[in-house]
Amino acid sequence: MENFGETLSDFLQSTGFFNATDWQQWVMIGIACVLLYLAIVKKFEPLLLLPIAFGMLLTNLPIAEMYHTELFAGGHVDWANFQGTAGLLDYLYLGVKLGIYPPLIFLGVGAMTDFGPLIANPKSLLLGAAAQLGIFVALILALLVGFDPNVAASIGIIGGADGPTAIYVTSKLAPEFLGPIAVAAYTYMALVPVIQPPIMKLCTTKKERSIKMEQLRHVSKREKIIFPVAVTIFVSLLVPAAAPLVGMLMLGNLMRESGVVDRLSNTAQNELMNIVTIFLGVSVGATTNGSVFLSGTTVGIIVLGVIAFGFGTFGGVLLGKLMCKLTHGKVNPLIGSAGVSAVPMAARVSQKVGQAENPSNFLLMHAMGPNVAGVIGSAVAAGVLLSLFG
Amino acid sequence: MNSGLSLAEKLSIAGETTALGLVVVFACLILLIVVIMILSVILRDRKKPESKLEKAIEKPLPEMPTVQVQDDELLAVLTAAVAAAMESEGSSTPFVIRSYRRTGGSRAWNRAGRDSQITNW
Repeated sequence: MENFGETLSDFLQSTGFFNATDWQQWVMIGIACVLLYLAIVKKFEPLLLLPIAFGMLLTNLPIAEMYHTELFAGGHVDWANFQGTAGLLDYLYLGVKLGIYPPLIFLGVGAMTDFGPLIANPKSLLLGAAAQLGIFVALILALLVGFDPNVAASIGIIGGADGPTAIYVTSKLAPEFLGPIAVAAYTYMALVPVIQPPIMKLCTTKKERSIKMEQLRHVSKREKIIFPVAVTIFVSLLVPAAAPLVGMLMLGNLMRESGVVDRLSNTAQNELMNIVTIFLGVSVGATTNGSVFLSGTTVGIIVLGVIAFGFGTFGGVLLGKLMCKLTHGKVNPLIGSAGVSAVPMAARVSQKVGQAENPSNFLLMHAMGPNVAGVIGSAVAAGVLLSLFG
Repeated sequence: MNSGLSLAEKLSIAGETTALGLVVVFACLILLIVVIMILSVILRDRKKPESKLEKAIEKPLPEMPTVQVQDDELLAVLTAAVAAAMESEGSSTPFVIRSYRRTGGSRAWNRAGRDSQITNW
């Protein structure tokens, strides 16, 4: 009987309940549950937020030892101790740490993206560039409030409104802040329909918002096939650090447009993308260790993230207004806000705000141009930041 | 949250990064605009003769006299022949034969036979 009591006490001491002395872990489990609620009930980017939130839950379970921060301390993988101590999530996290998952996601994004509207109206690339303003405004503010330059660059990239790009840059520049930055990026991407419209309305007049744009020209198949090859060559030559992201994006697009490898294109769009999304989400969630996540820094990142989104929208709309003036009212400035990437949500927002002013106005295809240009733009900006601070 | 940098250092890093970043992003995307424009010009020039051909094809066909008396058997044979031809070309668009018309005798068959003899080697 005594023996049984001892066994029972040993068992109790080995449970998470007994070992949960760290209040931060409980707070993190609470936050994970809130994020799960947002993903499931409010449908906030559920495809990513759900695995991220669950990764957060798993990593903060007392003594479950699923993820070891110390193996990735100082931005380097501790290979000497890796095999002995690594848990499941450590292995999955290697894909983030080594920069494998984000380019694979881009492969799928490329296979799903139609660059036709961009080829038909190449000037929309300018809007995709202007909307990267948010990245740099957030970077400046982050530097001024005292973040290290590499962390400030990672915070700025939230303004690129592109989850995989943000994760790619942060995993290289400031891996310790991967959790809060990824959560901020994906939450704000889900909140694009809330963040953007007030800024768009503030910067434009009623007359500008109701401008109807000319129908886009037809883009030939040959143009669509040559486009990804040309973009890969030119962008990679100019910003070599952007090559992994842009190269995979364009490989995916070439697989789609060439029409000769439908099986590969389908796999990249569906199975591969889904598998990588699961791994990426869970392992990014796993980095949200209570001691790092529950600090003023996270609050700072969240605040600066929304500023980055706001200024990105502002930059795009502002250049849209300029283009409207220069073309004597042929460009609706609302399509500028779609330049922040967040495909296709931002383009839908342009469509919705435009239609609110003039129900017969269809801006969606016009907004898709800046929208996909934004993806290229944020990948280029990411390349610049990586080469400056990497 | 203390990077240990002086305000002047912070401002210089911020200024340099922002200037360089925006210049590179704009330069890169402007370069792409130029590339796309050149490509579209090259491809459009080549397309011209093709588009004439397309127009010729797109000309509305002369209205065909509809056959008053419907021959169900002939209709079935024609449907089967068209379906077989379309399948061999890899097209699976559903279709309905609304009208058919006899063309000049057996000349079409003669021509098809001759063509296959000439081109098949």
